[in-house]
Amino acid sequence: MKSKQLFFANASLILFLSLSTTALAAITRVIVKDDKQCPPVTTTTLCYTEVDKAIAAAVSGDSIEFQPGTYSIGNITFNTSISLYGTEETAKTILSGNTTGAMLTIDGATSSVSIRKLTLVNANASTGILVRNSSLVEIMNNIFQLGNGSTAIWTTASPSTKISNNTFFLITSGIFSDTNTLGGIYNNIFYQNSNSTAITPTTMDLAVIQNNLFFNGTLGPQIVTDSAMSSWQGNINAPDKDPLFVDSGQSDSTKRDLHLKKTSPCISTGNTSQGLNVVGDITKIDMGAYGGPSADTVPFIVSGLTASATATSPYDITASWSANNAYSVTGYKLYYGTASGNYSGNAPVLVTGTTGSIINVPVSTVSLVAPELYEPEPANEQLTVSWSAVSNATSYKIHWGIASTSEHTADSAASPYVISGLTNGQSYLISVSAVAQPAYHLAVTAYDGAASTTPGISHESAYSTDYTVNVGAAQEGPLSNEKTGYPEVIVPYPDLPNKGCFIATAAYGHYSAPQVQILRNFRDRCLLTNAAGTMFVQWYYTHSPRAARFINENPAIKPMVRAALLPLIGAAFVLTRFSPAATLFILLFLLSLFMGYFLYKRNTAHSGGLH
Amino acid sequence: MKKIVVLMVLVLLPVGAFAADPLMEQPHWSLEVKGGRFIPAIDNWQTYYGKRYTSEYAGSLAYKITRQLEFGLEGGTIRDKGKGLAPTHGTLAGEVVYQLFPVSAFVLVRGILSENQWLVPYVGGGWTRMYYQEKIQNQTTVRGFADGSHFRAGLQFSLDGVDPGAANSMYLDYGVHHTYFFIEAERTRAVVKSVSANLGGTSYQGGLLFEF
Repeated sequence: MKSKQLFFANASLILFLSLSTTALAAITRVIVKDDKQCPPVTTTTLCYTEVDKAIAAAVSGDSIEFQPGTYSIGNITFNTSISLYGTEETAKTILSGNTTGAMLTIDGATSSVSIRKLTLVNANASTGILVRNSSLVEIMNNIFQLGNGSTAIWTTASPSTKISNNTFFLITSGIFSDTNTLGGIYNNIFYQNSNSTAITPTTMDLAVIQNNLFFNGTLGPQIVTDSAMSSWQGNINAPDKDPLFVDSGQSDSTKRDLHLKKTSPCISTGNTSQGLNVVGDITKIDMGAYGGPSADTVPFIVSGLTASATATSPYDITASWSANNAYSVTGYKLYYGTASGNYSGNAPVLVTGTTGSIINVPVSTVSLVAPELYEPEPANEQLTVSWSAVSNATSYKIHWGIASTSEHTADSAASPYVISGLTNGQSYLISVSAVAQPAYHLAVTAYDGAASTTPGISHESAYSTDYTVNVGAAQEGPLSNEKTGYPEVIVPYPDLPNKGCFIATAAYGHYSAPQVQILRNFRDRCLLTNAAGTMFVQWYYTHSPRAARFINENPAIKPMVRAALLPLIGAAFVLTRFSPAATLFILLFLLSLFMGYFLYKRNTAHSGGLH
Repeated sequence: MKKIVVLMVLVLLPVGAFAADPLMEQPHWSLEVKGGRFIPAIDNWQTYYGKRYTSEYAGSLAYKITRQLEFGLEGGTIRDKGKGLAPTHGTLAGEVVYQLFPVSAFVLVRGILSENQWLVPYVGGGWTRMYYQEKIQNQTTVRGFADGSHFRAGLQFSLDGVDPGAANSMYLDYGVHHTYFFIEAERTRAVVKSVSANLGGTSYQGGLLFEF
């Protein structure tokens, strides 16, 4: 009995502890664009595709982790002590608002809230983040691109709010507060804000505004008078101190690159009390969204990769790409391999410029088998050939001819292929071979000066778009089995008469008779190509149906009509099948035959008369 | 048969009550849009086109001589894609796109006894010209037409009672008195005499009828 009680007591304790542990464990709520991107769900990791649902479900201590992507949000309000952050690239993790009011409202949070590495965009000129009646809110490494009429950060009754290493890009009001003190405004870049209220009120305690850059460009006055500048610590407030973003000129806010270029005044000029850089000079801190201890460690992807190879052995590949002008980028890695997206077999080539070479790449013989050629399908003056796919083949070569398959060739990326320009009724021999073009696949990454880098994860950009470069001559495999085929006129079903060649159709019984086809070809190639011929065709279409009807109603005269049409069909055949010179020769030959026959008959008649 | 007669009587019974409403405004035009299946009358269709039927879409506009009798024009399109015949090979080959464009003039009688009648049988027929077109791989397109006739019958179901608000809006905004959903069967015959091919067939279609 006693042991039973002890057992239940122990079991209850274990259950209580396990429940307590579950309740206390912080949950990472991962937000993805697509369910397929979800990480494995565990007791501490959950996955969402909707931002508002993830935030609503969060409790104090949880993290809201955004995978790169654009997330449309309305007005979200919360008061829990949570962290919202982008995992990889700040500029690629976008919260897009389309309503007025505040995109994110922190209202009554009593302990720490952190928002970092996000890009907030909103075309409707709203407020980015509203902090109300809260303490210990930290907003860092974000980019605000909210447009004119907007306020990026609005604080009210929240004096401990700290705002550091953010970039405010073309925003009417960067920071608005109802107090003269905040937890700190450090290392931010206010770029071309369109009025004087980059920070409001202008009476704010200057001691908390440290190491920011205010670049007004031509859009507005400076935020404080020169006399006040001496009270500032490390701020840069001059119209000519452009922060020198890598690419701020893109009209699409999602395509701007707000990393700093080499000569930017924001490099290493931040307030180090906020921590140190994780990229660039790690003994200093930069201003802006890409500086400080929480900044991205992954540079932007390199674009514009192209490459070519020498035509003969030894094969060298030369590649070039567009520069990644972020100052922290110290070089590039040129990856290559024989399979798309798989570069693991070869060590990358490290270069500091935007061109790189891979010397003497090996070209191996590709194993190819003969495809199986299927029965060709006839059509009018065409044969459609199809065959089985061959592994390693990059294309196929079709061979055909009358006496042998070596007379003509054509290339096709895949089966089937239509051989055109053939003569109806003529037999053709056909075979197919597989072709393999040796090629290398290239990708380039940008990396910073860190000791070890990993593409797309740490201190190195993700791979650029794969580029394929052909190396060496194409290799052709053995010929397939041989097939014989001949094209012919296809009879549609049902075989209906056309508006044309009415008489011939009636005389020969059906529209697809070869003789009717010859006359159609003559119409299309010889008559409809000139005005006189076109007029004749129109006249014929108007008057011939009656004659055709008469022929159909009197089948006995069909042989006579066929006989009468024979010379016309013969002439049409000659005119449409042979060159002008050959046609002239044939006509002269026929004329001479006719003249000879005529003279012979006349002479015979005269001779008879003499007798 | 007896059951059908009883059913028809039951359906039309309320009509007598509604029929005592001579002042209700009557429409003068009918506009139909419809679609469905067309089963060609030609034998061996399936051999060349893969299935026994194809799709048909049509529309018609008719003027009402009386509330029950109307004359109109109808146009449609029927299309399918299949193979032709390589005659000396004796095999199916080439690609053929077969299209029909039936144009009809018709007279139609609708069994309307009241403007509030929810179920209306109708029957009609008339002259049809069937334009045809055969696009053949790498060959001249075959075009022509054949004249013939058609007969059709169907049932129309009033949608006015389903959503009276929408029906009222249709009248106020577009002048549409009644909207019906209908199903019908149609038999068409149009023979190309020179080849004895009947391009017609049987259609089973459904659509919307607007009376305005």
